[in-house]
Amino acid sequence: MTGSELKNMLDRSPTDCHRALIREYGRYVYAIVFNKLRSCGTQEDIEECVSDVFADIFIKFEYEEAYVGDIKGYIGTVAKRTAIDRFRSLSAANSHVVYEDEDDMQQLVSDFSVDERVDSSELRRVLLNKIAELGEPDSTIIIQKFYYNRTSSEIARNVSMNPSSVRSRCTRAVQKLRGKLAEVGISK
Amino acid sequence: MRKRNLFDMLGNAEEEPMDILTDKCPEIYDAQMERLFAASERKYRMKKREIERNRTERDNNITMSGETVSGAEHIRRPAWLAPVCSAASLILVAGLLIGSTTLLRRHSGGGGGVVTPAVTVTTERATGTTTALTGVSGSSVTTTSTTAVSGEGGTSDNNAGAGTVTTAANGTAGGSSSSGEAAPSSGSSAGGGAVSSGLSVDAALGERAEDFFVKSQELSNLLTFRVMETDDSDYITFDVDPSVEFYTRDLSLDPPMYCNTHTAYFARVTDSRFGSTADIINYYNSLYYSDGWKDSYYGCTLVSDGSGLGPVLGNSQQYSVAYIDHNGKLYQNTFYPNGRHPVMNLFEDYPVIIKDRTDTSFTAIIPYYTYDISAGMGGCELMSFAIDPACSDWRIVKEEFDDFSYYEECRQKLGV
Repeated sequence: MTGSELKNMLDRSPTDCHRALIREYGRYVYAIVFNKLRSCGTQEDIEECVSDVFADIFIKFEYEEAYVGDIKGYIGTVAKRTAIDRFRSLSAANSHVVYEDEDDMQQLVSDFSVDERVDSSELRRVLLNKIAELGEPDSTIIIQKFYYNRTSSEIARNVSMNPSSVRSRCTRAVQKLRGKLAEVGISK
Repeated sequence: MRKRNLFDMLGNAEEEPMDILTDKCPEIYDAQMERLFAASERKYRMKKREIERNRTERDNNITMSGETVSGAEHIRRPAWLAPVCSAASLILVAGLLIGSTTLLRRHSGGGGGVVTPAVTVTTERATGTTTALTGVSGSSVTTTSTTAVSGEGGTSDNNAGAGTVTTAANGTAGGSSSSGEAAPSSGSSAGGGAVSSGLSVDAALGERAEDFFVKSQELSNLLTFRVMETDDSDYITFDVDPSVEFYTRDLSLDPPMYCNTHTAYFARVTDSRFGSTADIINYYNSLYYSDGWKDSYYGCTLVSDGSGLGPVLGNSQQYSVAYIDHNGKLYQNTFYPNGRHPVMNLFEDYPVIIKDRTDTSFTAIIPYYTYDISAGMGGCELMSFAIDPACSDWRIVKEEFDDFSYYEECRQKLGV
């Protein structure tokens, strides 16, 4: 969506425009906010921050912005900045991450340790590559399970499978991922 | 080392990993979508209201383009402001009217209101007892107890002072002293007791006192209509209300006598100075307002501002007035007791004696005679003066009267 299209929609119906904007960029904003707040915020904090991002975008486009190009980058920037502000305020409080499937979590958390001297950026790249090598739907299941902290039931809806299949595939995918990570030297 | 979730390293990811994570992000379902939408709209409206409140262009009549601002801002006054302002104005005006009316009423009665004496003189009556004790060595010690009662000085009819003088001697070795109550002076003694030291004759102060005395008597006589020479054979009469006790000089009798009658007698005034009641009022005012007399006399109620020239009995009946004009002549009421009061004339052959003189006060003992100078009938007036700090001039603060014998006693003590 471009800025011009957004302006046109705003002129026609602000409410419809807002709804369309959330539908189009909701996942995108959510992913950015989640990435920043997953270590310190609850699900409610994350959703609160997402709504803040969209409220800011509505206001900016109504009063200030004359942005006519693709607005995805713009929205991403607003989301990042808003999430960072929220991260700072939440960091003051106790950080708490909810792990709903403690058993599954134990499989990966185990005693895996990260040497703080290793470049985290390189690690991130390697990890995501190895997850991608698992193929679909295992890579999605792994990401949603261990990164987005979704339950097997929720993941099952996303990947159109039943929860038990998700759990069994997840177990096998974790084993596979361990092997791949060991091959590149990331092990105990 | 702290154990960490491997996926924690995906937090705060750069753009490229972020694309992967976004791609793998779970779908937002309708319920969550509606929740996000509702929260976003609520925050959006709040922010919008805040912005609208602070905007310069909140009034549609104002337009801002580039560096130009045009239009007029509409200001709406609260609806309650007008009635509140009206009520406050009415209350203010009503308060002013009521306040000014009250002040005018308070200060307009009796031609200037009540004159407060600048100085209040009090007399003190004291009684004392003295006990003399003789000690072993033959010395004596005297103790004195004194009770003093203070009160304001009275008028000439009151016994303002009991005339008791107390003396005391303390610790007189080898002797004894005693003093008893001094006997009150004979008769009505208003002079503060027996004659004591502090007497003198001062020409200037005496002349001042004489001047005050003469004027006060003249004014007083005018008010009490007893000074005029009259032709008792030329009179007019008025019927008096039978319910009124009216004691007057019956001019129909030969010689005229005072009696209780129901007829008021007015004798024709033969004094060449007065041909009408207007002459009397003018004369009174000329005396009263001359030489600051009115101001000098405050504190004394013997004379007033001429209002006493009105009805004698306090009613508006014809017979109750002091003077009356009839056929171009002036007639004077013979109503008792004014006609019986003696006129006090200054004894010019005797000096005025000054008593209790200080820098700011003195008392003048002024001798006067009444009916006949040769008969020696008269008395003395004790006219007390004090300096008024406001104008540094003498003011009469008290008038008292005593027997002529009191004056004689003072005169003999002075040897004048």
